[in-house]
Amino acid sequence: MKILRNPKQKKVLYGIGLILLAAFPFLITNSYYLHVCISIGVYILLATSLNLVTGFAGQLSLGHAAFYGIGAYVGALLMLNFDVNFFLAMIASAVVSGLFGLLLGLPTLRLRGDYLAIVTLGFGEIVRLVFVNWAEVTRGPLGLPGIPSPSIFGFQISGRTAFYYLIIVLVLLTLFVMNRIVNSGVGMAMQTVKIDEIAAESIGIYPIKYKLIAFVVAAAFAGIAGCYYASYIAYISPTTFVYNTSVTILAMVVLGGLGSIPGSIIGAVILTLVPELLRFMSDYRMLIFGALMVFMMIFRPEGFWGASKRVKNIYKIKAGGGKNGSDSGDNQRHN
Amino acid sequence: MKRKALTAVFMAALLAMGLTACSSGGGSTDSASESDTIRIGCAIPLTGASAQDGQSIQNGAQIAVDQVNEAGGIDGKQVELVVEDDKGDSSEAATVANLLAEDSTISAVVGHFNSSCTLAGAPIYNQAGVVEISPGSSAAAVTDAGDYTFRVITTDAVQGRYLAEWAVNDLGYQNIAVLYENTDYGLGLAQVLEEAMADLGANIVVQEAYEVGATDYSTVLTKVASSEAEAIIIGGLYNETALIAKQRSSFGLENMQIMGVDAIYSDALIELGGDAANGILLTGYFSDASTSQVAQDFIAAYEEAYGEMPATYAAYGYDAALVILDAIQNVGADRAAIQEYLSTLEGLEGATGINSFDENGDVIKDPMRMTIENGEFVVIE
Repeated sequence: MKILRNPKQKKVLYGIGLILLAAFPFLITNSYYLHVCISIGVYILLATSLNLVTGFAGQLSLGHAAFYGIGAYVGALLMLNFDVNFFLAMIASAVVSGLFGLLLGLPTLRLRGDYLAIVTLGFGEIVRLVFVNWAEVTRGPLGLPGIPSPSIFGFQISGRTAFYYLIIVLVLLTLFVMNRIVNSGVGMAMQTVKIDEIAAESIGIYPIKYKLIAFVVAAAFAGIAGCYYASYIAYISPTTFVYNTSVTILAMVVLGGLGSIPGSIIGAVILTLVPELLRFMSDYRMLIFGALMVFMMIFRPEGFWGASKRVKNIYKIKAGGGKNGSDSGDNQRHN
Repeated sequence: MKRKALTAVFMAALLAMGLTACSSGGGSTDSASESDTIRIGCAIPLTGASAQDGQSIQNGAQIAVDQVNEAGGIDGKQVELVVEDDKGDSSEAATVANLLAEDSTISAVVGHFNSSCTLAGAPIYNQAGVVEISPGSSAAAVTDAGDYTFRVITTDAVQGRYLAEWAVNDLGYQNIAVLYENTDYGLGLAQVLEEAMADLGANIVVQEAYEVGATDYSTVLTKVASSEAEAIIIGGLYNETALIAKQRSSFGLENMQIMGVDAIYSDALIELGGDAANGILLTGYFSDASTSQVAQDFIAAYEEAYGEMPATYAAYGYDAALVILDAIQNVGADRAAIQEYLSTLEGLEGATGINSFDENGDVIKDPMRMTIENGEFVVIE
């Protein structure tokens, strides 16, 4: 990874990557491939946001699909019933999802580990049941068809290519925000909380505050992903926002490497691509997929791009890459 | 170091799989460009809660394809069913829809099963101009899903209304008791019956809900007994119907006519209901008692191929494939031509009745009238 540490080469690499991403729809006109890329984009939003909670703040959440669903339903209902512009609806989705993150987080983030997992699991189920049973608003299991495409200044975004560029913008925005958060004091505080809550408190870091920030930000970005998804597929139903989806997102985060943004991206790419690549095995597809994941976790428990690969912490960056900084948690675990 | 080596092997394996997948995909397009086969998509749930129904549909559709192939194919070309698993999940269904719509060798698609999946796929199929024929989506919303979305299953409303007409116009009942299960299905059917009875000028004298899985029906049956009701129409499933049929004699209702739609069609109705089940009248589209030659041929072919009786959805899968094959036989494998042909299709006999499509792509077909005689389903001519 030495290449990446040189800022100039890094910029060149990023530039090439961006050009490739931008040129992709021109190189490949197959709409199925584009659809898979868009799905990967949506999952990158979901995985990087969950990574903030699970990877950086160390809180196991099994209800991320609930925030995704809330965002999707809020966005879809606003666009369908009140003709709200997509981008306003997306902001509303983020705000409402974030609010639910706050409401769920306030009483529950005092819980740790397994207990929090169970509470978030329950929250996910409750949200799904509301989607199914609040039929007057959500149309229950029938779902909401005919969700409009976004438009900017009267220009309609439709077709997969336009949606592809939109998700690229959203992914870059999310990565930028996530990167800023985890490399800021807030991010450092989150990681301190993750490693040792008592030690964090002893140096004046109030754990619940940072856990809450992680929770709310993650929920808001999941909401954005939901609103985008609703508009892209033009149809949502409760079957998309189930426990299974939460677990898939968590698997992306863990498989990619906890506490690593590139890891979450790799996790999202692999866990979306592999089931598609395995389609030719028809009946055995999910079986092989499961087996691959088991092997992965046995032979590479820290994920594809674990925290050990992370470029060191903010202090080093501020010190111009000096060697004085320490990222004690990671070093401890991997020594 | 060992770990690193293993990781490398793992990654290499993944990569290799990706390459084989690509090459197999590429291979199929090659064979299609020679166009010695006609390819039909089949997008159904093969994993998840609806997997069993999905498998039935695949088996049924395969029978239709095999029959055509054994008869020499279409214009000398063999037909191939391309099966994709949508997991019964609408987001997976969108992916599968993209996959099938993008593959220009796919002429039309049998699918999807769940209404949510049909609706999620509909915008994609309609944009690409590929016909999807659902063998299992009975939700009302599918009606408006687009020009390329068809279905060979009717909505619950169609059957409920047909049952009401049978009861009032043909059997002469004027006072009806409606007992329904307290679910969206039961409530929906009760509403359909209410509207139908009002249109037909008959009265619903009792309308009572019961809980699914209830074992004691004395409350609802007492109400029926103290009313003017001449017949009970049930909006629920076979288990509860069997119990109601059994318990009615305690309330002096042993001669009360019980009627229902195909949700009560099951061997379990006869097993649980015993003698009390005899004489129950019901509507349905598919039964091994069917007098249709197409249905009997299908049942025989299915039993020979899979060693079991076809389930109802197998018959719907067969019909969905049959409709597509009929279109290809008449106008060729062109996607748009198939849509045009199907939009005016009339009177194609399948295993679940005679299929015609209305302007929304909904199937129009009359159900069979059935009863139970000596512990067996019999079709009333």
